[in-house]
Amino acid sequence: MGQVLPTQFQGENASIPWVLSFTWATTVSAPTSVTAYKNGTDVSSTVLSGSNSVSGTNLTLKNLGSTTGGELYIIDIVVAVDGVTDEWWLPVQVLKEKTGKTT
Amino acid sequence: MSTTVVVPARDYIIPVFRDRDRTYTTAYATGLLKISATNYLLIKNETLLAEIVVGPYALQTSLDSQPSSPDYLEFLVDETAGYTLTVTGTDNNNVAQTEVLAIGAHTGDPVRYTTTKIFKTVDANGLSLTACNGTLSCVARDMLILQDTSGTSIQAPSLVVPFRDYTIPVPGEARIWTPAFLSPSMWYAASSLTLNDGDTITSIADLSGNGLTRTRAAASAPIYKTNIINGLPVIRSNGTKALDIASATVTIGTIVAVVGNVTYTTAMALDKQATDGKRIMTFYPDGNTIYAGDANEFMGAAAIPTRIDGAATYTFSNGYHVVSQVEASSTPITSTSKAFSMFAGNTVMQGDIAEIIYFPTCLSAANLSLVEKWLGTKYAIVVA
Repeated sequence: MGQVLPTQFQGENASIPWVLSFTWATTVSAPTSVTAYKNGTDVSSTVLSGSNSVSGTNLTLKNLGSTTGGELYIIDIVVAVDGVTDEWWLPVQVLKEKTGKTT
Repeated sequence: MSTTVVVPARDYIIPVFRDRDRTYTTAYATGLLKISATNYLLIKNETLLAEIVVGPYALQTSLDSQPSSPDYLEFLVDETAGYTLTVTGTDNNNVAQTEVLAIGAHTGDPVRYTTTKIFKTVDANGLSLTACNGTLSCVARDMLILQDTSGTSIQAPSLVVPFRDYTIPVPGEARIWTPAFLSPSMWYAASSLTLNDGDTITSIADLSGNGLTRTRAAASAPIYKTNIINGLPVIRSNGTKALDIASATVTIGTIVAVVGNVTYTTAMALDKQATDGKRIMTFYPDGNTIYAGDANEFMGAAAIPTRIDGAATYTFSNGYHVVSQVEASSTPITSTSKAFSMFAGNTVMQGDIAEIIYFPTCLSAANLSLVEKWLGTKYAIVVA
């Protein structure tokens, strides 16, 4: 029984290690898997870099970068929280960046 | 911009369906979650509103208590007119909600109506009824509480789920109220017998669960008569043969009896025993009647009988408060009695008893009313 988290936003040139904070939990294990999807296709190898880490009840995901502006990415996280292995989906909407020039 | 996403706590309320073997299953992600019988505590109906008489006017009322956890509400309704019951309260997320139940008129056993919404609370005066005529009570549906009392997680086929006091509404068994809820210590009903019309009753089982089966020699046993009160049988004592109802100690308590109207002229009575003239209850039925009262209420030397506990006496006939019958020549029972029988003083009672229940405590007016109404429904006798 997975759970969809609120949609986050990042710029197309950004590379962000999103953090999931399980404030209500006691223990958070290292994630079983973290996968990024774009339009239903696994693009993890392209957009995820680095490693996942856990500090307390905060789970820091791999960096999400090298994305395409205007696309919606879904990060699929499977992790055991308080001993319960469950799945969360984190939608990230990538925004197109402009230089500020009008023409 | 924060890059931290606060993950909300999970809601583990899941629907479950009960099998007869008390195995609970539910679809849970990758497989079936099976919960063994040792992992739950099933709380039977939690009374939220003791039975009240409603009508004839529209009214608003409240629950006596809120459900201990959000749950479906089940209303037990005895209603002859039909009405609309509006329930106003909050849901599991403290959001206000209202549900309207259409209560149909009916006869016979009370009918259950269950909300389709889960209520966490019901507002003060949150039960609103249109004009009606009957009774109303409310319980929370059966509750299944899953507990991990040992600290060991419940094992599911494909994942581990550590349940901790999660509460789940489950489809409950319909529980029809009976006098057994009030723990009678003796209970006899002709309808429990499987005899032919005119057979002697040499044995009758105690329905209270106390095992006080009564036996009597055929030569002195009353007879079984079929189809006397609402199609149900009675124990008929003809003035010479009667049933020794019980031999267990009878102290102060409440007796409720369904008696019939036969052509005999001798008063019907329950007596301590055959020869001492100490009557426990005397019946003067005008038609089929439900008598109820304290065990020694109908007897006594004084003009006004008194209860052993000194409290005021109340006697009911078909639910109406009536004047107690007094046997001026008899002596009140002041402590205990060893039996009560279908005798009237030295005379064997003449008349019919369809059912008789003895409660070892004086029932409250509300509980006594429940017993009377239950018997009234069974024997088609209108009670107040």
